[in-house]
Formats: sequence, structure tokens, C-alpha cells
Amino acid sequence: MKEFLKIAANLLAICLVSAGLLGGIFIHTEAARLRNEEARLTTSMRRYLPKGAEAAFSPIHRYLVEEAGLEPGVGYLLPTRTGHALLVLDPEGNVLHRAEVDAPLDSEAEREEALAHVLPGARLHFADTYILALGPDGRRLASFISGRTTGFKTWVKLLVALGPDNGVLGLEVLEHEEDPGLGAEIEQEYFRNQFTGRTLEQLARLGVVKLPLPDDYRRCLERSRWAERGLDAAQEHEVCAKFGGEDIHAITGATISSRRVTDGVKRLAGAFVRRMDMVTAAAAKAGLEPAF
Amino acid sequence: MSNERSYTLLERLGNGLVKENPIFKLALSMCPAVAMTNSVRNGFLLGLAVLFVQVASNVTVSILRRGIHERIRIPAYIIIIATWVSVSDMGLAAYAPGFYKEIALYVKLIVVFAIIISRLEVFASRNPILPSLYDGLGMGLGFMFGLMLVGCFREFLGAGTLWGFEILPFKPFFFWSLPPAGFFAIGLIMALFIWLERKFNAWRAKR
Repeated sequence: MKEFLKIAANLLAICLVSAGLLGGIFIHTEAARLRNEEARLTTSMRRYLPKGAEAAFSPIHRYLVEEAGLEPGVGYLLPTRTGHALLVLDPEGNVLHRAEVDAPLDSEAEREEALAHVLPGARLHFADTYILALGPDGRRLASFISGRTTGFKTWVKLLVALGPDNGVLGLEVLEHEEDPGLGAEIEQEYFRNQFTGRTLEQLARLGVVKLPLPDDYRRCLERSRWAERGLDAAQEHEVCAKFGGEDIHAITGATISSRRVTDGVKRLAGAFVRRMDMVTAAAAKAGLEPAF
Repeated sequence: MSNERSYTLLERLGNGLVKENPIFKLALSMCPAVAMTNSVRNGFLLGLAVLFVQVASNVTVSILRRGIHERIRIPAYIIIIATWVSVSDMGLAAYAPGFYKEIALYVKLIVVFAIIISRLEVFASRNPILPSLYDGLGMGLGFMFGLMLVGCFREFLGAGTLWGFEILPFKPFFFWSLPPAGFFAIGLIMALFIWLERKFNAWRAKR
């Protein structure tokens, strides 16, 4: 018994020291990590805006709303011409609730407080955030959909950039834990840029093929290396356009990762467009003027 | 427990790089060595992450070696390794985001690498701090050297590049870029490594 207690105390002490160290480091590093993540997201988004364009990033936060005795709905906290508003819709897009929100909404805590004030007694579960890049006249320059999809091993966090016509401007892989040299190649331009320029209709039909990527297609997809390789941009755009109608070429040795990312992009873009159409129509019905 | 033998930095480096090279002599942590060596860069980054965790874990276990109960040493080592992996993961994410983006994948993988726990059990738990630090450096560098050598071989033959730079305008033998080729590459280099060592030992014995 004495030996048992000694062993248990020994292991407990090691675990406590480890937990204390990790907790301390987490407290000291978390704020910096979040700042870095935000900076990275902003840099990624700016890459898809027209050069020199003035744009303001306006987020739309989505929540699942549960109210006692009522059907659950989806709440959209969106920017309007005069400030912000909360629009709660049922699955068919009918307005369940609308309210102007006049409070600071910069952090998650501020948003929760504001929503609790607007919808007292309701339970709100945060789902995701869409970010719209709006020009000075309120025109939508781009929409950014951040979401995750399953990869080969764990989650893959994606950022899909759509243009004003909902065509794909680009794809960024924000986080993943795929194997280096295999699934981790989803980060590479030659894979990500295969989505660029696809219309929503093309995206809906998009599949994945296990065919080797032609050398000239790969060269045109690696845009950041055009200058270094002395390639002519106009000519490379033509090459990309030639292959642009093809399905996505799977990464060698990582077909599952390629398929999952492709499905993720299709799902995220499709859901965003459907939801935005629904929100725009519902906002008009509810007498709201969205800022986009 | 303490070993009578004196270990120097040079002796430990030689031991990790050649005599007990983790990949070519001990054949430990072969999964990453096979899976992640289709380029030199992958090998270097994984090697760098292992080097840090190996050194930090070796030093920690050496300091705590008299306090860790004999019967729970393996779970204790695992906790120590996991702690250092998590510390490096959080620290890099906060203070070196650019570097973290490159190395994050590799850091998270190394909790279960056999080479790290085996050095804790075989060496750090029986030796003072300084030799354990040298051993961590030697083994970490030896692992990095092994991964980079296999990476050079496979990247050059499979993609015609080295560290991403184009050396040949074509892919000589794409097979070497594929995962199963890792087994062949390691087997061939291992054979060459042992053959060269034997030749060298025979030559030294003659002198």
C-alpha cells in the first residue's frame, strides 16, 4: 500500500508540474497566438482584393438560436446601413425575429452580451463567421468563408474567397495536420489554385481525378514563381484557362485529402451562397437594409 | 545508477551521427523516416523539431532521474516529452508565427517517436545533465542527418530538385517521390552506411 501511494504521489507530482507549466505558458502565449492568427487571416484576405482597392471587412456572425417553446432558428448578426441587426430565420427563411443591435460587437464576449440583451432568455450557439470585403459604396468586392472540413487525419481549416459574382477567387489552407510530403501538399499553390476562377455552377459539378498534373498546367498554377521563372503572365493565364474546365487533379499519394478539401470548398461555397440569398430576401421582408 | 564512463561532446556527436545513428544503425522512428523524406526540407524541419525535444527531454529526465519512481518511468517520460512538445508548439505559435507555420506539423508528430523515449530510458535516466545534453544533441543531429540524407536521395531522383531548387529539368524516376520508395531508399543507404563503416574500421585496424 505504501509503495502504491508512493507511485501515485510520484506520478501526480509530475502531472501537476507539467500541467502548471503548460497552463502558465498557455496564459502567456494565447493572446499573442490569437493576434498572429488574426493578422494572418487579414493578410490572406487582402491577397484576394483588387490592388489598391479600399475595402472594409464586415463580418456576419451566424448562431443557432434556441428559445423556449419555439422552433430553433438561425440567427444572423449582420451589418446594416445604420449599424447592426440580428435576424433570426427558420429553416425556410421566414423571419422569426428581427432587432437592431446598438452595442460594441468587436469581441465574442461583447457580442454575447449584446445578443443576450436583444434576445433575453434565448440560448445562442455560435456557428461561424462570414467576412465581406465592402467597397466605399457598399459594393461587395469579395466574400470570405472560413470553415473546416475533415482531412485524411484531422480537421482542415479553409478560407474560401468568392468574388462579387460568387466565382472562386482563391483558396487558403489556414490550418491542417496532414502528413508532410503527402496530404500537406494541399497548402501548395499547384493544388489550391486549381479552384481559382471556377464559377458556382462549375464548382457544383467539380470532381477529383487521379491523373498526373500536366507540367504546363502546374507551371501556370504556381503563380508566385512566374517572375522567378521569367514567365509571361498573359500567356500563363491562357494556359490556366485551357485547363480550367478540368476536374481537380489529386495530389499524388493524397487522394483522400484532395477529395475532402474539394468537397469542403464545394460545401462551404454552396452553403454561403444559399444562406446569403436567404438573408438578403428576409432582410428586405423585415425592412432591414444590409450594408452589402 | 550513474555511469562511470566520461562522455564528451565530440564522442556523443560521433555516436549519434555514425556509431548509433538512429535511422541507419538503431533503426528507430522509421515511420517518419519513410513517410516524410521525399524532400530534404521535410527531413531538415522534422530533424530540427526532434533535436529540440530530444535535448529538452534528455536534460529534464537527467535532472529528475532520482525523483522518478522506477515502476512509472515510462509514463513519466511520455509526460515529459508531451510537455516539451506542447511548450514548443505554444511558444512557436505565439512568438515565431512564420517559423511555426513551417514546423507546426512536425512538432505535433514527435510525442510518440521511439528514438526520443529510448534515449531517455537508455541514457538520460542513468547519466548526469551534461552528458545527457550532449547525447540529446548527438542523437538529434544524427536523426536530422539521416532524414536529410534520405531526403536528398529521394528528392533528387524523384523530382530532380534539391531543397525545392531545380537541378534537373525533368523528373528522373518519379517512383522515389512516392511513399513506398522510402523503404528502398533507407535500405540502400543503410547498407552503404554499414559497408562504409566496416571498410573504415578494417582500414583503421590495419593501421
